[in-house]
Amino acid sequence: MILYILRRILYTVPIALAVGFVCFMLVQIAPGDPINAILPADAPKEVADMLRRAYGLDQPLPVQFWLWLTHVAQGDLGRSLATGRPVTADLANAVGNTLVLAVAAALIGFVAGSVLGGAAAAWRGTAVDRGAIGLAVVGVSIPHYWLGMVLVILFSVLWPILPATGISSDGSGSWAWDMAHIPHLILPAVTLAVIPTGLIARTVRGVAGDILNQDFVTTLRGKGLRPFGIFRHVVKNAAPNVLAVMGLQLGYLMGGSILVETVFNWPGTGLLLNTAIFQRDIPVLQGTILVLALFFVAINLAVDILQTAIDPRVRRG
Amino acid sequence: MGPTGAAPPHPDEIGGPAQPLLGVRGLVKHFPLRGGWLGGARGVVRAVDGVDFTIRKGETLGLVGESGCGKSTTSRLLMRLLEPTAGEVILDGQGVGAGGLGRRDYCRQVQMVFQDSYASLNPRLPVEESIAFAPRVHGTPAREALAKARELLAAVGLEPAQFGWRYPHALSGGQRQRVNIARALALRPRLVILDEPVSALDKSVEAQVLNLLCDLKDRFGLTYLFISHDLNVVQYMADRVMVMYLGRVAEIGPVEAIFGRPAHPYTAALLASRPTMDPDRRRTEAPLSGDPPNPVDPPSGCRFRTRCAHAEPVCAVTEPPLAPLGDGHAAACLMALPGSGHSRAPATTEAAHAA
Amino acid sequence: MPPDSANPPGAAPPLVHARDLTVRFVTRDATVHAVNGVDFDLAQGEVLCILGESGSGKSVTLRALMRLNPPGVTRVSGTLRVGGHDMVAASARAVADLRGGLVSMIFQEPMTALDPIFTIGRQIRETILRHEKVSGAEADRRALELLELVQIPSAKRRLAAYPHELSGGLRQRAMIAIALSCRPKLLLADEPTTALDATVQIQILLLLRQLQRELGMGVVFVTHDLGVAGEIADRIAVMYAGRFIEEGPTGALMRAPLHPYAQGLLGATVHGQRRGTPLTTIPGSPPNLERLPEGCAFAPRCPYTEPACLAAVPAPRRPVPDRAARCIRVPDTAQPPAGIAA
Repeated sequence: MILYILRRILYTVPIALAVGFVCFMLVQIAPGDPINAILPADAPKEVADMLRRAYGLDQPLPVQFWLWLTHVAQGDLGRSLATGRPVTADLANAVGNTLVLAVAAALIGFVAGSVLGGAAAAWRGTAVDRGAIGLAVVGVSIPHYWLGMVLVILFSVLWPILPATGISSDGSGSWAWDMAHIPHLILPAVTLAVIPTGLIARTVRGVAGDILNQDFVTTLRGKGLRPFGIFRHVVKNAAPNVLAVMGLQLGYLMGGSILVETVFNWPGTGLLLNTAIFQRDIPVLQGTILVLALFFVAINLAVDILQTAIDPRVRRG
Repeated sequence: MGPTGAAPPHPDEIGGPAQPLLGVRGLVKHFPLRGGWLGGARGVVRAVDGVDFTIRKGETLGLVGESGCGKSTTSRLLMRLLEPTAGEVILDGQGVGAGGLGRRDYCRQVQMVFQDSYASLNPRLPVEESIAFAPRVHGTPAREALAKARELLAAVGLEPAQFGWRYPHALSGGQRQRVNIARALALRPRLVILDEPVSALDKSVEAQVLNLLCDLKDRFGLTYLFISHDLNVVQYMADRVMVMYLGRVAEIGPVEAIFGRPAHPYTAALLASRPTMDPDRRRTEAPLSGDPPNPVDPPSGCRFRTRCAHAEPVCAVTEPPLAPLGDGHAAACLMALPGSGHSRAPATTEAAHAA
Repeated sequence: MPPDSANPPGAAPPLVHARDLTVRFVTRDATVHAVNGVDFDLAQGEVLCILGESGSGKSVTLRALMRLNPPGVTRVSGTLRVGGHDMVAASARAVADLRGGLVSMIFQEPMTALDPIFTIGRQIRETILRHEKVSGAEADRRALELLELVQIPSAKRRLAAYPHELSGGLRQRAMIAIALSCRPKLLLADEPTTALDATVQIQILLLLRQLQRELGMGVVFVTHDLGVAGEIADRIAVMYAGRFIEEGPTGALMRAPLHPYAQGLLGATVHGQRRGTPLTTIPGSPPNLERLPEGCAFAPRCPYTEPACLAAVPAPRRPVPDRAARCIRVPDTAQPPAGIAA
């Protein structure tokens, strides 16, 4: 088992390298000159050339990639073109904020989705099923930035019990577990949780429904197990598949919250990306995309290992 | 497709009636077992591990054995659905493969009927189209192929006007298996491999299909390789029987010899494992204990020794060759091999013949 | 098809008592008449084999005995008592208490009938803990005993094994161990040897016979295989289109079946017929269970059909005590005190 985990981790190295190369290249291919974006339109050409040399943008691409990679390996993602601050520090703060939001949204989504989907599977074909699945469809169909604005209007304007935007009421730009921050988390987390709720509900219903149709469930009923006893078996059998979808969703939540973070002015990776894109801030873009992609790889690795731990049939030397 | 009666010689006939239709020499198929370090192989499944036999023209060779004995792999190797690891196949004197008979010519002469009647038909084609498909691929004009398909439907007992346009899901299991038989016959093959053709059918339908297979064999001058786990069915259908165990031939011979005087203890155990329909003659003891071992790591020497009541130390070191017992009967058992060192081995060759 | 007065004073009540047992599957699209009036009694320690082809209703009948047919679409009527409990009217909770305790079941495919990601030991243990107030350690000890009872070698190690780590024969033995874990009075077996190799099948049949005798269980065994029935059954009931069309002691029924369908089935089964002689076959195919014919369901395929066959479903007729067949050609000479289907 330990050997398997080690091997699995080893496999992720080339994947991570490829991810790094792709996000490096994507930014290179994108149109627009980053130097022009930070200089005023009437800046002399010599200044632009000098800046280009200073940032290494005049070197051939492979050299740029190699330079970038060696720096990345040392935790140096360069300096932002727009602010001049080190990318790593800004990114660390943003990743921390997004992680809080994503994990909160994931918890809400996974719990609500599992309950809805589980109920739909247990009472398949009844009103419970139709109601739960109707909710799930609404969840995946609603544009979440619109839902965010509606929630703000409802709970911050019409019935002001929660703050509308920002991460804190004391002006700090990073997260802390105190009463100045926690109320700020509720609306964005709920907004962000709606899509995963719907997806998880549908997945759980499908997976649990398939399991309930399997022969061994008849055996369990034949042994006299009560619904709760059967439930335990269904949960463990459904876990590998449901975990895979959950891992994917957590990955999306880490990077896919640009719109929601913008609506709620949440200083996370989404907001960082948004700003970087408009300013053509290549080091920030590269760094952010790389970190998000590596998160994806790490989550997949974790899901793989969890699946292997749960299901003895996929266990390998 | 002539009317009923003795079939005329097949157009592909070359070697004369005495030459075996199919010869198999040293056939081996090992499947690599994935999942080793860095995705490499961590061993092989010895599905078929050195098999020799012949099928005579016009006979039915029955092939029996339990799961993992290699009977399905053998059939797929003969159909060239799998590439053998080693060994050669000879069809009517011609080698098959590089330098010999081409794949296309070979497949025209050797056809197969599978156990799963539904999975082996295209669900989106009317059955007559399925039957006509192979002849069209082999160059028969569409109209002619369809006409021939309808003839074949009639030959397997399905009214073409009533069944030809139907899709597989609209037929019963027995009817679908009839369609599969018609499909296998469409290229006018010489050898038909029947891989558990009646195992998925109900008893009353099984009898219908077995009767049909006997009819068709006479009518079209076919040769059968009949694979089944049901010894009663093999006894009824086969002229000769081959028993396989863990990728090797345990015993081969005329059906009367195999069922009447089994020489290999495994064959005897298989026969004795058949449930009886007479409650007064029930078994009191199982002939064998345990399941067949895993073909990944077969026992040394005789592969059957781990379940054999007569195993002796010599069985662990000597791999028994097929010992001839006369009349084409042969068994891979040291007890049948004169001078093998087993205490029950016949002393001389004469003794073996007298047995 | 025993007479109504099946309980002469003083005799033990039958383990299973079924009268006019009917099972339909009702969906929006169709109603399938799977079981259409089955009557039988099973004494304690008796082995009844229900023999039939696919779609005959044999498995549905078996599952009805512990109410295991799919809930929601299943409609059961008639009388069904198992160990004195009314299995038609009892609450779901009461039935769940009986399952695995009084009555338990083994299935055709042990690979899919066992939970793939729970060890064999846990699957036995949870059955014991469900029905008996014992400690976990006691349940584990019993689980080990059970694996030894079903003759699984190195039982202790096998407790920790997952189903896919066992061979087909061992998996079926483990399935039997689970079914026996609370000493049931009635064991239901749904083609438990069909998926097994020949040399393994006979081992499992012998094991079941031995356990049945040692534990004194009643067994209802469903199969399509006459040979399997011959090895295990005291009595055989042949089922066709949801009815017992013939019932009798194994030997007598096998030697001289009364009903034309049973005769056809025996004739069509290959067992030592001479090569070259065509096998007897039954023409046609079984009836559509959504639209059963009036009268005898076998009439459309029967070589002896006469107008009376089509008028009404033939009542069981008894040529000798202990045997019965639903065919009007069978003489009714051993009329019991009161016919049940009258």
